[in-house]
Amino acid sequence: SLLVILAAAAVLTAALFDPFPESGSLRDLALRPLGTALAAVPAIVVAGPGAVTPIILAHLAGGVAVLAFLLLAARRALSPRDPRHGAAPVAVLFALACAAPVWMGPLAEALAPWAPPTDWSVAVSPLSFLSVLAQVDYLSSQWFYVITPLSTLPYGYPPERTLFAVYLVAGALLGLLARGRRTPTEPPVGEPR
Amino acid sequence: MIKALRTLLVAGLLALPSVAMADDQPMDPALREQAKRAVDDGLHFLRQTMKEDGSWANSVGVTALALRAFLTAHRGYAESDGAFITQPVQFLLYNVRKDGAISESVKNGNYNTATAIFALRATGNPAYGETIDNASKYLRGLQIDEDDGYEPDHKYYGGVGYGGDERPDLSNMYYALEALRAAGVAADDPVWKKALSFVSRSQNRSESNDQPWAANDGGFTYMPGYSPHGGTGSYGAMTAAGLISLIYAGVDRNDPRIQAAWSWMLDHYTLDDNPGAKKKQGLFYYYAAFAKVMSAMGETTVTDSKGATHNWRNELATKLLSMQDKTDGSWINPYSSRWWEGIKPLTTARAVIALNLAIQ
Repeated sequence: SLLVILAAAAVLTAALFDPFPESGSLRDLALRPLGTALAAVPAIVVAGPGAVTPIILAHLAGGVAVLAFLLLAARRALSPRDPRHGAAPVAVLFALACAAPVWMGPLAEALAPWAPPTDWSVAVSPLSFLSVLAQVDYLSSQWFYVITPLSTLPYGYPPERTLFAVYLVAGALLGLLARGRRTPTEPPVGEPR
Repeated sequence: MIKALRTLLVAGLLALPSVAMADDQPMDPALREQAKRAVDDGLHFLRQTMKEDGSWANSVGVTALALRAFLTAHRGYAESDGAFITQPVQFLLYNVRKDGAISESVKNGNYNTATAIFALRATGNPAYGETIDNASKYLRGLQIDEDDGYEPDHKYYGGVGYGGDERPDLSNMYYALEALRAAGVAADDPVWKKALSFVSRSQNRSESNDQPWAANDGGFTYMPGYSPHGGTGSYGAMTAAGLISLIYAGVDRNDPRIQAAWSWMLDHYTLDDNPGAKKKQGLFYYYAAFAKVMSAMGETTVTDSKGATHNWRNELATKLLSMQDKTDGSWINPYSSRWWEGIKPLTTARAVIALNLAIQ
């Protein structure tokens, strides 16, 4: 159901604002997403009692881990010395991306007769990734159906594996960027100078 | 012989018990011939645009509607006529899922399965019986009821949505009921009574709709408490869908719910628009549903609220002929792409289905 997907998105947003400083290591960047995925499991189960099978739950947890990796890498790239300062802008971008089917919907409808960008509007949103994993057509839910014309147009969800790969590679690139941006002699916040 | 039997089967699927009126006038013969040619041209367009895998738009739903357009046409097409029938059938069968759904994706499970059931049934091939039965079980499983934690007094009770736990709506409901009827679901199956709860709660008729928002014009809206065209207003496509759904569910034509919806359709009789809808959205959905209602009510000549009489067969055929692209035989909704009406195979299939009913 839609609540399951929104619960996962909420946990991801919360993970951006965790107050603990990062060590700056790649191990840290790998472990935090796993922690986020574990935190997402009870949230998903509570949001959709009986709606999520163990297999779907496992897929969703994996998806949360990959998205968390991307988001945490993004905040680190924005603010290498103290990634916590990058949380707000990344959260805004994440929210905008999640809402893409809403704000791109009118554009998709206007362009539909010539070059419908409906699939792009759907692919851009991390909610679409989560919905593919949850096997839910979230755009047909009441809330989205009412607020965006996108669901009345032909659209398709991207393949799960493609999105996994795209998010993983994007996260890795951002992680490398963050590493490159940090002055070699300058330690991250929380470590002695 | 087999083809003749199949033609009878298709006629049976399409024909709802109707009331023959003393003043029933047939379609104008010359216009009928033009309509048949228009159907042929539309089907030619569909043949030309069919993909190698037998599908249109990679969609089970669009493919099934196109197949239905062929199978219900005046030429009596059947599987024996060739690949333009057998390949779409194979595409449908290829997309049969373990849970009985016939769908290429998790999206639109109901629409896809429902249209596929009708198309497979229309082939008259008993080999598809098990597939149809399983698909029918899938559709009945989609119905929101006690098993999903909904009590009979809930506004969603008895409804069917896109597939899964999304909210139900009258459009999905109507397709599901048409399919269940085609699948031969027994008249005493609980699915019909439950469906009536939801269908009644989608009608603007406070005597039979216990929802506080219900008005009293007799028309139907998209779902209890919501119309995509604003507020909870009635509009043509859903009023036709609701009326037909009541008939499928076994309600007598003299029932006040049907009579109220019929009055709404006569009060808002038009073929220039989907009455009550914004910007002519869903126009071809309306034409197909309009044709089903007119055919089911059994009156070729109807009188609207202004006292004007209409031969709906002639008028629908004239309208659709005027909208056909003479270069390739297709139709498209030039006003709005909503509800997939920017996809030519879909709108062409709907136009042909509507013409097939007018020509009958």
